[in-house]
Amino acid sequence: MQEWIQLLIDGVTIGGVYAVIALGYTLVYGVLRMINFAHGELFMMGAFTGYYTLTGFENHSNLNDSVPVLTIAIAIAMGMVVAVTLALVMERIAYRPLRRAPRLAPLISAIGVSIFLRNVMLRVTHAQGRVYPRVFPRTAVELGEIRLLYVQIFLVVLSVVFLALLYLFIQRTKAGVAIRAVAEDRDTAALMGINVDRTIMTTFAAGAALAGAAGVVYGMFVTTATSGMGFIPGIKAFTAAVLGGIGSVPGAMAGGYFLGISESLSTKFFGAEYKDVVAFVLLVLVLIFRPWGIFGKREDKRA
Amino acid sequence: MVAIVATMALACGGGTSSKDKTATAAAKGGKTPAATAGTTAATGGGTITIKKGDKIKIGISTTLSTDNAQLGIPIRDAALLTIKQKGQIKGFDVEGDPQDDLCSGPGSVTAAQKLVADKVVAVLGAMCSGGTVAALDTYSKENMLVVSSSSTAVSVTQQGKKNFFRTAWNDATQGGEMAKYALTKLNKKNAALVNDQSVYGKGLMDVFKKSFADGGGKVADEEVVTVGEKDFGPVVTKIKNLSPAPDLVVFGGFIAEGAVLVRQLKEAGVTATFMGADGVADQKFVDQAGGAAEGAYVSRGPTPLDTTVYDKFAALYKAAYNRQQVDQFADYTYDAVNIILSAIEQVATVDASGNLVIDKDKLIAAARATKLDGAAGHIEFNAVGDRTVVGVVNRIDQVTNGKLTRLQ
Repeated sequence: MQEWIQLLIDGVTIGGVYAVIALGYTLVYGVLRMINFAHGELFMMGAFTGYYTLTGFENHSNLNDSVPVLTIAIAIAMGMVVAVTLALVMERIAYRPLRRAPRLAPLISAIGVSIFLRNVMLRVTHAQGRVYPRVFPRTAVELGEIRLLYVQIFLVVLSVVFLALLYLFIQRTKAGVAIRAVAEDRDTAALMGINVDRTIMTTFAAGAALAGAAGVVYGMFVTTATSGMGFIPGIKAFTAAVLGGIGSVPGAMAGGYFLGISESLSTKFFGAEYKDVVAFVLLVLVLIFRPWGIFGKREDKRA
Repeated sequence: MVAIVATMALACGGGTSSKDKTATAAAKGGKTPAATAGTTAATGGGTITIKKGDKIKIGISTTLSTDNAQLGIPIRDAALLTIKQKGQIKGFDVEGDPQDDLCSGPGSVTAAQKLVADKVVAVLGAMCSGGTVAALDTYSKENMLVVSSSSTAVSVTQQGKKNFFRTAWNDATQGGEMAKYALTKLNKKNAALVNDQSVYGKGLMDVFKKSFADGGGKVADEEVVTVGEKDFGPVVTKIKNLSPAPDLVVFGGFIAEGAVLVRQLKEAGVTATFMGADGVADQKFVDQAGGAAEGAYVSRGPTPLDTTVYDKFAALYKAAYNRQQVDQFADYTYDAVNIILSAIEQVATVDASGNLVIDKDKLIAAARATKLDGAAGHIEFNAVGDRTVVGVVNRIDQVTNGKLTRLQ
């Protein structure tokens, strides 16, 4: 029983990461009908920014020991800033010129950006992983055999907070209304006086901020940053977004947790080598019976 | 005679990369013994002609991107250094041609095709066993000499390729020795095995499993990790909940996953001793494990205790690239490239018009006859291209005070 609970905790942890990354995919898709395949690399850049920030603190002061909360907050903020900046640059250079191009063009452009960023970091780091400094106490909360790392708790709580903030942002703010309007019909939204370019940039920025923050926290959790670390979480998060219904914010959340938990539990059921098989069989099943995903809207009009 | 030339042309048809080479091979067909063409099947024979003023190119198939580049880039560097040190063969400049093989089957085949198109004389590589197994067909069709310094899986030399050799040790040796060491020296009886699902990692753990069980040990569990992932929580949870708890966790895979795994095991409170193999036998593993690798054991293939050649190479390598230590496989690479270069030197002849002519069969035969006291020990090859063991022991290191320290 305790092993099951532990596996569930493992699943929720990684599921939270998937969910936060998946939001970026879903937001951009909702507005542009485009998959930003470089999104996983924003996550990776966030992880590296977090690493450089935290080691900077470690080397230049004893801030880490006295106020870890502050250094962690600064590291996350830095990760968000770097990811947002990168996302805006990539939107301007690689995606905006292709906005009216056939759908495949921005997709290929995104793959190009992804490979570019991965290889830049490969060069910078000489392909060697970076080890995060210890910001969280390594001791864990223990309930019987169940072990919870502090960073794990932090990660789960933070992912929920981010999801809630994003939901409020989309639903309650003016910018959020604009995003929803552009998602519904870009041209009509423009006619209503909505600045489409700015709204699209806001969307990219919001998704990137989440990816950057997730990168830092994930980096603290797995205590490492490598140039290739964004790839698999990126693919999994994309899967989660599709699973939940691409374009839907609650769907991305649900998809992320669903994928993380099913992966983790299937390790026990079928063995770790079938983890991805199980996850993708679930995806196929969901798509057969609900092609628009768990929370997605039917797009009869577009189909 | 016409018949022989026709046979040769046919024999080389699938093998040579360009029409002019085929023509050269056919023209020289009369000189090449027909018997050779008969016994080495359709892929034997052939010559390489390098025009006066051109360079002798040595292909380097290694991993230059992805996380495994931390193993692959040092291989490239060691190879280029060895080539640079040699400089020329019979008045022809030698140069390296590095290609990224992605540590994967498809990547290594693509690299092989590129190297064949580049008309290299011989190839170092591929880096990973899975890549080598996949790419060997491409090289064999060309009857091209291939020497790998890092592909250790048992299956690599079971492909029946006459053109392949490796300075890396067959994992059949390493896996068995690891099991023996764990049983007799460490007194471990109950092991959990983890591999990265690569040909190398899976193959090594298979050998370990068999040897460990044969020696009276029990394999409690076999788990896998996915290359590129960084969170192995579920696998760690399973190992932690094994009953009875294993006293040993053995990992078959590379640095990126190994360092993360050892850390997450420790954080989860798994106290079993960690044992890795040559895929993690590098200071980078210890560094990236961030302290969690302390006390872990790391195995390598048989390594000489006499380090005269190794020390010479080490000094050269560290100075050339300003590095603190000799990276894993760099020494094996030095030997592999030297074997290639010395084989070329032995068989290459300059013809009347000043071109360099290399007979492919002779080149492979020269590599097969290697007797080298290299940086990685004394090297001789058996019939399938594996090293024959001559009075050396498996190397085992333990991580003490953040450094790999040799125990045997």
